[in-house]
Parts: sequence; structure tokens; C-alpha cells
Amino acid sequence: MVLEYKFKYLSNNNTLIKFLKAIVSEMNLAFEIFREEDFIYLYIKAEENELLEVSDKLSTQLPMSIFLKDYSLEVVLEIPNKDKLQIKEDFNLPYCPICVKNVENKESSDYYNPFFKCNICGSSSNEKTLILQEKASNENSLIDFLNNKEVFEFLALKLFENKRVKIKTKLGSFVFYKTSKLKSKDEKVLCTNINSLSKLTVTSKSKTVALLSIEKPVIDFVLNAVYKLNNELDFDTVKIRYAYDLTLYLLSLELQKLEVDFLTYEESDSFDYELNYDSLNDELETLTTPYISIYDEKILLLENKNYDKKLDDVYNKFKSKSKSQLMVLIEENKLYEKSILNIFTTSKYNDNISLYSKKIDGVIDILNYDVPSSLNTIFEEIALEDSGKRLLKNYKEKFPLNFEEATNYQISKREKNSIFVLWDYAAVVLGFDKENTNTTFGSILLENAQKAILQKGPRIDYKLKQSDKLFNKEFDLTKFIKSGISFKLAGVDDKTLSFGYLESYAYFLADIIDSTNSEFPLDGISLSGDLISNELFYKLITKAITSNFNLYYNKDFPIQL
Amino acid sequence: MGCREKETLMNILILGIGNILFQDEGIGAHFIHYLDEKYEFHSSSNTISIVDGGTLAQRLIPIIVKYDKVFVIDCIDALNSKPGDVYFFDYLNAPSEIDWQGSAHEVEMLQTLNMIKMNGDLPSTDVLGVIPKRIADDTTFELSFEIIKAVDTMEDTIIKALKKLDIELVVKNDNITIEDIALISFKREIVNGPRI
Repeated sequence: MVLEYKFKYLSNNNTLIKFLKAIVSEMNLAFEIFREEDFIYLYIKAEENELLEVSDKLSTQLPMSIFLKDYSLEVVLEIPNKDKLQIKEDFNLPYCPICVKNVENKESSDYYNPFFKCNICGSSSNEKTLILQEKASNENSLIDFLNNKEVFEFLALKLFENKRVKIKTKLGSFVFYKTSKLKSKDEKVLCTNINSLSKLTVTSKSKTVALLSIEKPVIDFVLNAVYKLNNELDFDTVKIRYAYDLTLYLLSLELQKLEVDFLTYEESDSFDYELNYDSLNDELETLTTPYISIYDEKILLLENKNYDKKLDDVYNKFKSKSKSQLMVLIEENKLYEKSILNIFTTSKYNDNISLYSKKIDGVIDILNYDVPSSLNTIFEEIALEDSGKRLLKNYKEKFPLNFEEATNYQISKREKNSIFVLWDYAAVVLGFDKENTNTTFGSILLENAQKAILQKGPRIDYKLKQSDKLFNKEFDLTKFIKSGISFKLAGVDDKTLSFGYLESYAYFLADIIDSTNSEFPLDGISLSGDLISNELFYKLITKAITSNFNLYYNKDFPIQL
Repeated sequence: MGCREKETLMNILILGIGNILFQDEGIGAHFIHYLDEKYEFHSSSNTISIVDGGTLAQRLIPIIVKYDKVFVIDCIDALNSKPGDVYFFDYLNAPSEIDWQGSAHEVEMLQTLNMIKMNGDLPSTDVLGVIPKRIADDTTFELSFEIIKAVDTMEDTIIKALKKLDIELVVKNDNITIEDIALISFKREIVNGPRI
């Protein structure tokens, strides 16, 4: 009997294959693994009872993954004859269910052993000894212990008592301490008890699963209203991760008993205790973990180093970041034969909308933005029409301060040609409050839009200048600013206006997609750049693209470098 | 024994047009929000969809062509007319005194309907037009007294037209006024949005 397992796996990495191979190999059965686009197939030929055993093993030993979306199984006639998979070296992994089972087994010699050598995930180290020290004024003093469990109990107690503990982890050495009042949205937090996530955040099943996944990513969580109110916080999100190596996992087990659910960690020289180990080589420190966003079921990689390094060569071939990003995306998704409209929208580089197609032998620009050198330039253009003159006159009379600040606003020569920078200008013209001097006005517009909590906003004019060309279109900046001023004069508040700017941008992009498609039929749309990781914008753009286009994203490469 | 053929389903669109930033020029858009807020629409055989077309003009073409029957609500110009006068006519047989040249969005809408007609895709289209009071200079959501008064006639007209198409209107919110809705229509989500 042959059983086919079909896994939907949205990554080009070999992690899943590595686990399948390791788990099934232990059973001495005939099996093959194949890969086709987003699917990985495992075929096993065995008796029914053996297949049941395999299924049991897979269900307990296969780790969750942010890339594993679905799986199914069915009986087939035979193992198909396809090309054998060539698996290259893969990346170091944190730890897997087998590791956890062993280090939690009181009967095992690996009980509370953070250096457990695992045959399944490959997590390994040479035998090492924990070194526990108390930091004294002159020199550190060693603390004796009978076994590893004592070490973790001791450190958990010290953390509970608000001491600072420096720990050598697979990602480097950090000082950990009990999280009290969060200081900023960039504070790094380790969740030590997954069941307590909701004490701090608004969580979801997909986020919880992702935290526990084999990738052990960092994820932005929205703070829950009660925690925010009780702690009088003026930010909405926090970066959280779960224990990413066995040292932190075992420490977490002890902390749970003391009801310490969250630790803050940072690089620092200020600490009371230190947990180290002798390190003949640094193999464990090569671990890297991603930073991701999750909306509904969609996962976007904001930072990730675990990708095929040949993608770096593709990326570095181009001067323009948008082209580099597009060609990496084409390579990752194998889209060389397709016609793809790429939307690259970013807070860091120049925005670009471009069309890739084999039919045109490469890429053409559909739209680039051209940021003016001063806001006065925009006002002068608006005043070219009588209606524009009247609008500015009214605005100057009703909002004299906003108008004055806008005319005096200094635009840096280094500004990028992007919609994010144009939002910055709109926010300046419209006089949006900027309490935090470290943030840009463009960020204020995004934050405002998030706070508006609306289903629909005012329609801001995102229009293209009249042109019969499919490519190199020009954005009409005066209409973009004029419509904002008009709504402001009509009494629309800043948050609602901000939402309108964001929502109308999503519809504008959708219109460009439709108009391009009507002239040059598209196979799909690719989205990249860090703005797509903004939760509200992601929801708006995916709602605005109504036609049935395939949406493509980077797979293992970050959505922006 | 033959089976009785099911009555043909008609998809009806009520399309509000106008620039809400220029007072009365936004009446088409405001009016469809008013209908949507005030009434529930019931029919055993037909569907009703309400769309705020704003100033989208040619971008409305793919929407319009999907329907069997369209009511366009907009402001218009007409010879020998005064603000608040209401006109209701078949687009293909528009009275000679009707003019669509009052504002940029009116011109664009006329062009849009003409383009659909030339392509042979124009559904049966009736226009419910009203003469706006044109005031320049300020952007506001406030409507003129004349246009507010005209809303009763517009409402009666569209209700009668819809009843002929087997659409029953049931009042769900009797307290709403066109003045109230004009202040929020730019951010109001339509309940009876596109059904097809």
C-alpha cells in the first residue's frame, strides 16, 4: 500500500523535507519525497499498521512551521517516478518536539540538558557545561549546583525577584529581566508562558502557532486595551518571541511555576547573574530567526536571513531597489514566463510600479513618483487654476498657521520619491499633530488612519496626469493635495482624512492594476516593500484588488531589505 | 407536463454621482446614501444595488454594464429651470432642454454614458436629475435650501419607479434627513452595495 502525503509549504527552504526524511528514515520503510511548486509530496510504501505508525510519528514529531499551510493524504497505486530531490545544506534550527520530549523526560539522561543532541532536527552541540556566576564588584563568583534543573530553578527565582540575568543564547548574549511597564514599541519581549499572551496582547490562533513554530520568529503584537490603559502607554504594539533555544525553553518552564510570563531582553553589561557555557566553537550562535507580520493567515517576512544565497546575486544585479526586489520575487516564485505587475511601496526607498513580462523582454516602469523640491511649488501649481486660487485663499484664511508652516517647511534633498514622502507633505499641509518628534509625518498619517477605526473614508484624489502611454505615467500631485485641503475645509478631522489617504491609495493601485490589465493582460500582481506590512494598508489593498489576480509575495527573502 | 419558467431576474443599479465637496453638486451621492439609510429594499424577482459613483466617471463603466436597469442620480442643467427643479427621463430620450455642462463631473458622466452607448453595452438607463444652486468659493457639505426641498420630489419619483420594477421599499429609519446624511456620506459604508 502506498500513502501520499501532500503538504502545502510556502517556502523554498528544505526544513520540512529535512524533518520528513529524518522521521521516516528511522522506520526503515521505502519512501520518496518530491517537490512541485508550493507542494511537498511524501510517498511511503508499507503495510497498513506501519503506515498508521508513521502517521502517529509525524503528528507528534513534525514541528509547526510558519510556512506549512495545509496537508492532506490519500492512498495511491504506486510511488511515482520523478527526479530525486537534491537537498543542499540547510539552516540551523532552534529545537523541535523531540528535543522538548527528551529534555522534559525525568528518566532521560538528557533531562534539563540544554545541549541535547537531536537526530531529527539536527540541533546539536558538543558536550558543554553550564557555568553559573554571580557578578561581584571585583570578580564574578562561581555558583555550584548539583544538576541543570537547579540552575534553571535558581535563575527563575532570581528573575522573579527582579534581578537581571545575562544568558548566553543561540542568538548571542542578552540580559533578561522581568517585564514590568513596557518602555517602547521596540522593547524586545520573550513570552515564557504562551497561555498568558492575552494578558499583554490581542492575540490570535495564527499568531500563537507562529510563535511556537520551528522558525521561532519575532512578531509584532497589538497591546490589549486594559494593559495599555493600566500602564498609560502611548504606543500600540510590542515585539514578542518565544524561547528560541533549549536554555530559554527550560528557563521558561521554571518561570511559569512562578507566574513570570514575560521577560524583557537587551544587550547590556548591567546584570546580577550570568549563565554561560564553555564554548569550544560557536556553531550554535549561527542561528538566525525571522521577524514577521501575520494578518489573517498571511505571513510577511520583514527580516529573514534563511534564504538561498543565490538570491543575493539576483538582488545585487540591479541598481534600483524596486527592480532588485521584483527580480528576486520572480526568481523565488518561478514567474519568468508570466506577465506580472509589481507594486513596490516603501518608507525607505523610491516607490515603483512596474510591469515584468517575457513578451516585452524585461521590465518597464508604469509609474514613478516625482517629489517636488518645496511645498510652495505645489501651492504655485494649485494656484494656476482659479478654483485652486480660491481654495488656497480659503485655506489660508481658515487655517493660517497650517498654511504658514507648510510654506516654511524644509524638504530634504535626500527625500525618496515615494507615496510615503507625499503623505508626509500632505500631513504637513493639513497640519496633522506630530507629538513625537522622532516620527515622520508620513508615519503620523499611518498611525492616524489606524486610529480612525472606519470602514470607509473620504475619497482623496490619486490621479494620473492625462497620458495615452501605458508606461512612465505621471502622478497628479496637485489634485492629491487639493482634495485633502477641500475635505479639511469641509470639516473632516485628521484621523478620518488620514484613513481617506490610505484607503484611496489602495483603490488607486487597484485602478492601475485594472487599467494595465486591460491594455496588457496580466497573470498576477506582486506586492513588495515595507508598507504592505502595515496591517491596515494590507487589508485595504487586498480588499481593493477585486479582480481574480494571483497575488505573489517574496517567499523566503524579506519584503524589503 | 411542462414546468413553469421562473421569472427573469433583473439586476437594478441606483448610481449616485457628484462631487460632495462642492455643496449641491454632491446631491447625487448624498441622495443614494439617504435612500440606503432610510429604506430596506425587497423584491421577489429583482436585485437592487446602490453605488456611490462620486466622480469616478469612466471607472464606473465596468460596474454600469453589468446591470439590466440603471438609475443615475445626478445634478444637471436645463434651459428655463431654477435650483431645486427635478427631472426624470430616459437617457436615450432626454428632453431637449436638458444640459449636462454645469460642472466637470457632469461632463465626465455624460461622456461615460456615451462611451458605453457607443460600445452597445448601455443598459436601460433613467436619469433622476436635479438643478443645483451653484455657489463657488467654499468647500462644505452643507446643501442649499432649494436642493433640500427637492429631495421629497426625488424620493417620490424613485420610489414610484422602483415599485414598477417590483421593488418594495420599507422604511427602516424615518429620522434621517438629507442634511444629516450629507455630513457623513463621505465615510458611510453602503448597506445595499453591489449584489453582482
